[in-house]
Amino acid sequence: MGQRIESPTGAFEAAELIAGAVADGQRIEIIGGGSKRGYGGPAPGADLTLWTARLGGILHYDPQEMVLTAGAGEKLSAIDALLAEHNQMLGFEPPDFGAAFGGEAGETTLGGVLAANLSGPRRIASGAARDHFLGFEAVSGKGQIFKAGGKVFKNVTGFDLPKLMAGSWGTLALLTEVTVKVVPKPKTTTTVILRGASFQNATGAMTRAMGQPLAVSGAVMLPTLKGTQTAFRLEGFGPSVEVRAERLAAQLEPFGEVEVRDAAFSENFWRDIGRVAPLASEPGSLWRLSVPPATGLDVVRAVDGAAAWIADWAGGLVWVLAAPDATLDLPAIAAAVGGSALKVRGEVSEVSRQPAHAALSGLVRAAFDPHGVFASRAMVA
Amino acid sequence: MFKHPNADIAPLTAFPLARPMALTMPELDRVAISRRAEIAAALRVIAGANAVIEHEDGLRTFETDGLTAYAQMPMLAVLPQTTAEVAAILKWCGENRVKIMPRGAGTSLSGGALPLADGVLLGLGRFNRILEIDYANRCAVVQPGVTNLSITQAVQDEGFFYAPDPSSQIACSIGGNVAENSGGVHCLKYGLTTHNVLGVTLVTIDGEIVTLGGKAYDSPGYDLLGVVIGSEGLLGVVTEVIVRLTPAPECTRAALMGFPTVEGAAQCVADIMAAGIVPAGLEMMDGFAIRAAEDFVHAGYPTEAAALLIVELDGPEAECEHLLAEVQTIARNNGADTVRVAKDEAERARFWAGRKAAFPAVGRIGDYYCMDGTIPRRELPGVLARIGEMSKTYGLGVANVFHAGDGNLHPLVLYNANAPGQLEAAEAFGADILRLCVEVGGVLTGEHGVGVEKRDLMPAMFNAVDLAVQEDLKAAFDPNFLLNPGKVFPNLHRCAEAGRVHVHGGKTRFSHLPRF
Ligand SMILES: Cc1cc2nc3c(=O)[nH]c(=O)nc-3n(C[C@H](O)[C@H](O)[C@H](O)COP(=O)(O)OP(=O)(O)OC[C@H]3O[C@@H](n4cnc5c(N)ncnc54)[C@H](O)[C@@H]3O)c2cc1C
Repeated sequence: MGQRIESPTGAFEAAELIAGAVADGQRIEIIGGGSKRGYGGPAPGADLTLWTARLGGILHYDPQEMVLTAGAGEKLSAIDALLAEHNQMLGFEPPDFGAAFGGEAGETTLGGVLAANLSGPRRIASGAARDHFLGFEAVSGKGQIFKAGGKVFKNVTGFDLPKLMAGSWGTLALLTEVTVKVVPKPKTTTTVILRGASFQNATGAMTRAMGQPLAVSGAVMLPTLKGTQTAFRLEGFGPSVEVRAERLAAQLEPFGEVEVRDAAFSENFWRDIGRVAPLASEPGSLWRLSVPPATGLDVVRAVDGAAAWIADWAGGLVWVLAAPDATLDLPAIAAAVGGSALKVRGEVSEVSRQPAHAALSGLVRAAFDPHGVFASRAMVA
Repeated sequence: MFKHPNADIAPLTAFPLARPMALTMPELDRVAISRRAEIAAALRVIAGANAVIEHEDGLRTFETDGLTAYAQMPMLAVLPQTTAEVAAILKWCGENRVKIMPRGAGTSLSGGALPLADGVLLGLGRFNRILEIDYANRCAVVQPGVTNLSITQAVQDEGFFYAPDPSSQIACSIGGNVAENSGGVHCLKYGLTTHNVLGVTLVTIDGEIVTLGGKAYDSPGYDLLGVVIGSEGLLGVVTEVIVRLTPAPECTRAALMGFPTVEGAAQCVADIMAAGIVPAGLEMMDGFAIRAAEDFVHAGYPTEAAALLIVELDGPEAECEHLLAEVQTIARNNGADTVRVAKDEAERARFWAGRKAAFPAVGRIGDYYCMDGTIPRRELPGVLARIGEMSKTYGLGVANVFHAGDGNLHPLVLYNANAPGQLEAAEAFGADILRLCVEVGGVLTGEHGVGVEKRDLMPAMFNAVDLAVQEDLKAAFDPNFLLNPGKVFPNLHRCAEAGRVHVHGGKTRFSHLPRF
């Protein structure tokens, strides 16, 4: 680092900075709260850091409409607090990765989680960040201000560019203003825990639970000294949660010890799962394996013993903490079951993609940023 | 093998128009038309003789879609059967600069599948197989020509369904749903197509086969799947789709509520949502639509009401019971004078019958033209009042039905096609409604797509830079603009504004389909 840092106060100023960088042949790295700066490795060779901190503010929020528009640099903590006053929340449960990736907690911005398309355990029930991202204003790599999407749930006018921006990690455009859908906070939350089941029974239980109308909004398996601990989250209106918890517990009983925990426990437990807390504080390279959920079992069998792991998203998201000397070939393990692996902490290598996908991605990138003014990130382009 | 008698004589013009088109399409490619026989021959080599349609009689099947105001026969049609054939066809067309239009079932209401006189229509009807059902991963791999409803039918015995349910679901194809990002009555709770498709196989104009997404929750790199969904056939041809399967709810209940004012009904919708209730469906009809539907199907609607709400709740029985009680209280607090809960499935079906019959019911009164804009819900009373004023100014009646939960309006503008000038007035009225949607913070189309219909209204919502960015993206996929040209982007040489879904004498092309 040590490069120039600018913190524009609006889209026009940002556009000028970007146009200036294009003219000077400089490269820009975009930073929100900086909480994920260590995630996926740093952006190489940037001359200028654009920090979105002053592109903040909650610009519009109407609780009855369940839509919120904010400056991209607005802190999640502020948004969460405002939404909570109206019993609402962001449905994709964005994790605060600050502590896990060498930053500080509480700094995460809304634009940052959208640009990274980061979603928490609730992803299996409510979708990812991309699914809640309705519209935006941004500055392209040409230094032009443009907008796309809208401020209503249902909109098919033009290409769905919010989807493309989600997970583009600041390589296509600088988001200046974003609109997201918000959802009601559940009235009650319960966590049903199964202890002592084998890998096979625990993953089987997750698959079965997800295949029933139980509206499971979190399903994670963790290794313990005595086999596994598998947790299921059930949320909603009291009477509904009660019957679903009863049903689920009854199904789990044959496989181990079952315990039902309350809302207070649930809140902390699932926040920690979202942040990958059980692994994040340990040294080593951290990998994220995204696989078809029912194949999580194969991944866990392949890595257990050689690395620490957590299988979230009902098996579809396996976090693996590999010791520096581990010889696990995680990309191959993921590929074998039709998934992918990304090293998110440690020395990051470019993620492998189908050549046709990579070629198309290159063209898409050039459409937004023909001069390559935004620094590349290993995980996208 | 049949051969068109004139196949070897290069025609200088395309097939004559069935009806004059008020729409300007991209400039006619006379070279392509003069090469018609050669193009057909090349396509036969790729896809086989019986896959290529050259004769006028065969081509007429494709001349229009659900937007029947416009009709145009394609130069040729090809009906391939494999992804490899599609790739070879696109590669050939790309290299030879021949325009190509993908088509599913042809139910688009925005003219998305309207052929071009100088282009090849690529029909996906032969891609009609469900390839794999993977219950463990809660997904199914299907070909694009499979109908929306047949996916649910294939999995319902195992307790699953495919959630997006456009009312055209018995006819429309999943490939068309992907291209239009179609919605349905239940998308308030279960999401649109984009939230229920995990992956696609896309063939690009240079014949590359790209897999986007997959059975995992996410995949590395840019979310190209996200932009391909809803891209109206402009970015590539989808030849395989992985859809998410959802466990079917244990119980479904519905309530019918009549209000003396539109404001009361609108506030009821807002209060239901604010209470944290996400109904499976939440539909509204205005007085005109209520009476037309009641006259037609006798659903037992309160005909004196200014607005009617149908609320559907699903989930465990305990949840439905609990929420039904809450919803009834909210309705009464907002002045509802009729509140009825369906006792059984038959009564629930009756509640829906009127709503489902709303379009044909209005069609009995006269010709109508169906709009599709979305507004922020809070604007509903104001927008309805403004539509009422416009109705007086234009001297045309209007019936309003909405997907109220997500603010998606379907105003039906009534006119008489035989009265001179009324059709034009209806079109102008419709365009004013859509501009009004944008003015109050909404959008031009909630689920029917831009197509040719709203193409020229795009500048009401997007400025020149916004549109240029979209066109740049289009160019990244299709640099010569060969895929489905003339759609979505405003035509520079436009002469008339937008055409619409016109229903003449109650008859539409898809009159057997329920309409929401
Ligand atoms: C009576 C009726 C009711 C309707 N109700 C609803 C509703 O409730 N909700 C709703 O959202 N819509 C509704 N529609 C609109 C329409 O059914 C949908 O837009 C549907 O998704 C179109 O599917 P299709 O197979 O008919 O596509 P087509 O009309 O054939 O094509 C639509 C577009 O998709 C493209 N396309 C088709 N297949 C592919 C492919 N494989 N690859 C790439 N591009 C492709 C075409 O080029 C075109 O641009 C209704 C239509 C009718 C006639």
